[in-house]
Amino acid sequence: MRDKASEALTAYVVPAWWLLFPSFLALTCRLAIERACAEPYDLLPALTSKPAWAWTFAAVYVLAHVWLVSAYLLTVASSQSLLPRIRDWQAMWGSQLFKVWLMFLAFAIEYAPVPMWRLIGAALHCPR
Amino acid sequence: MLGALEFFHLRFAGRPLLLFACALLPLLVARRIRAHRAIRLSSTSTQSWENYALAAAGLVLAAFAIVAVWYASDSHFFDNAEPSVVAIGWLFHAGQPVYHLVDSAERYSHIYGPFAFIPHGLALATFGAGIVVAKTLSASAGVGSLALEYGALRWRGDPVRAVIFTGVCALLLLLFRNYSFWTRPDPFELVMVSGCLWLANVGPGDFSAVATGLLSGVLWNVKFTGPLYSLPILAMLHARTGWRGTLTAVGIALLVAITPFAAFSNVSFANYAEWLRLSARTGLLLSTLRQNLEWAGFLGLPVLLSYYAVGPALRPSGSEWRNVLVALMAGLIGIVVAGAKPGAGPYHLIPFIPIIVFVSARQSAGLLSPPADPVVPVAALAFLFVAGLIALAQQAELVTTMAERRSLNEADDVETFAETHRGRIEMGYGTTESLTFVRPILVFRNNSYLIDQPAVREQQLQGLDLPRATTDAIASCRVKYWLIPKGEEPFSGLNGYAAVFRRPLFPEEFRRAFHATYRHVETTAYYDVWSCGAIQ
Repeated sequence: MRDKASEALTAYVVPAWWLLFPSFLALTCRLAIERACAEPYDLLPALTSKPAWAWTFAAVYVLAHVWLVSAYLLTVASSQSLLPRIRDWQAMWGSQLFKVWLMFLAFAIEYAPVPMWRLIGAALHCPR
Repeated sequence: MLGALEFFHLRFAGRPLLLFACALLPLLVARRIRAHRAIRLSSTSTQSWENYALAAAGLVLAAFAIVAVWYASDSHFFDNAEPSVVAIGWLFHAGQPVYHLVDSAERYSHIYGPFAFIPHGLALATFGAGIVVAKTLSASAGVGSLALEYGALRWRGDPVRAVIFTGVCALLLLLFRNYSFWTRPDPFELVMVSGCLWLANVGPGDFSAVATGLLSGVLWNVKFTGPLYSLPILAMLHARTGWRGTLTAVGIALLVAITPFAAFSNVSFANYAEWLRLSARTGLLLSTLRQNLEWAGFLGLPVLLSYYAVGPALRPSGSEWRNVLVALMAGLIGIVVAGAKPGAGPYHLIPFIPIIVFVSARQSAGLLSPPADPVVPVAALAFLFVAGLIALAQQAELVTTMAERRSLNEADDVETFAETHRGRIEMGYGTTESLTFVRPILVFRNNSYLIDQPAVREQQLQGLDLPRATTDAIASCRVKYWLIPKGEEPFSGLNGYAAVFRRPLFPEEFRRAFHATYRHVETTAYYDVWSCGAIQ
């Protein structure tokens, strides 16, 4: 059950992944290091206090969220269920499903609890 | 109980989406276990569900009104920038600049637009100079926004559902402690958004366009992010009136937004633009950005749930409704980013709440039988449970803090001192801040205002140190008496913003000048009085 709007949106979402995923993954990994080894609530202060860098990071960060929400909504629209099953995702994305999983992985890194990163930081003896 | 709420507030109240997931999971498991007699609405039980919802909505609306009126009925503030808005409102009425020069001795300018202050100035001029007057105005705007929301909902639906959705709106506003009725610009934004929602959807097209434009102009002026809140409303207007009506509204809004700068000589656009430019230099906080995204996701849930609550045939469809949803999402994204500036946060999303509730009500208007997707009622229950829990924790914090503050009588102390002493008296600052919140009382008397600590804090974040002129004003005894919270070192506050964390708000040179010029001469019930040395 995919209407024209869904198809048009999918046409943007799929290629946008190549632009968004690498930069979002790089950012989340850098933020994970920051949470583990530096101040976990004032992330990359030297860069984010400069508007040009701050806006760039914000654009990548927000657009990655928009990408994942769009992927979810498109799957919901095709399956007509708010909790799509794995097979619904497979039906929706086919061979492109790996992009969704990899994006989920990047989000798992970003949304992992801060205490976990602090423990990893302590285990690695990284300077704080 | 209060301890548990405080713990919850500190640890979890900022994670609504996480809480929602935690609440949804057991409910889904329970639904699966009891699949044969699941938590599904049957067509015969819809009426009883509506009755329960109506009663709950009534309770939430009553709670909102009671807390707002209770908060407004006393001269104590919760937040440190609330007195700043009242003081600047009075300065507007007194003909003083709302935006002073960047290097002037006065330090009180903020980046709110003139309409954040003008209503307070007018109210204080009309009803008398008093903190309660300003607080009543803000609380009226907060409660009034709910009345307008009801009007907008009633126009499109039956009265029972209008009350229920207005109750949901009140519940979502209570998630943000007292922000919807505090003495800062947010209640004005709320009432303008609710008013626009109503006007954009009722009456003849030309009337809608003009009236929406008038209110949008105020909204755009109050904060420079105002146009982002208008996007979904303009999309609704466009659906009714086409481009002609939409462009008329935008044109009128622009005219209204610039009116205060053109109409009042003490409202300088050049100075305002300069303060905005300086504010843009502060960058963004990624941790706040993440928080904003989580809140935007949580607040967006009703839109998603209501869309899938009804079957495909009953959903609003067509490009016009899609434009409304796209505009809402674009506005949310814009505010999520703009609200990630240091000192901002998820509360910048508050003006979207009436729109989200309105959109949700319209999408679920056809809901007469069990929701099309059985997950919807379970998710809605989890959403309302989490919203209720966070609102309860937020309100508990507000009430306990304010109950403690209301037991103090520092306003009378300041009034008594001012009655018995001649010359200019100003509120100074120590290490803590809450005792300085009555400073508008002195601004009402002086018709001038030298130092506003929240403004100094913001300006330091923008890279602006206290100018030489301010230190000179101290050294030249421009103020005869400074009231400093009792037992505290004068002007010893530290900045709490991450980028300038624990940096002294007032430089050493300023404090040296203060101690060289002023002597501690007496003590009132709440304040140490520092008097200009020359008069000893």
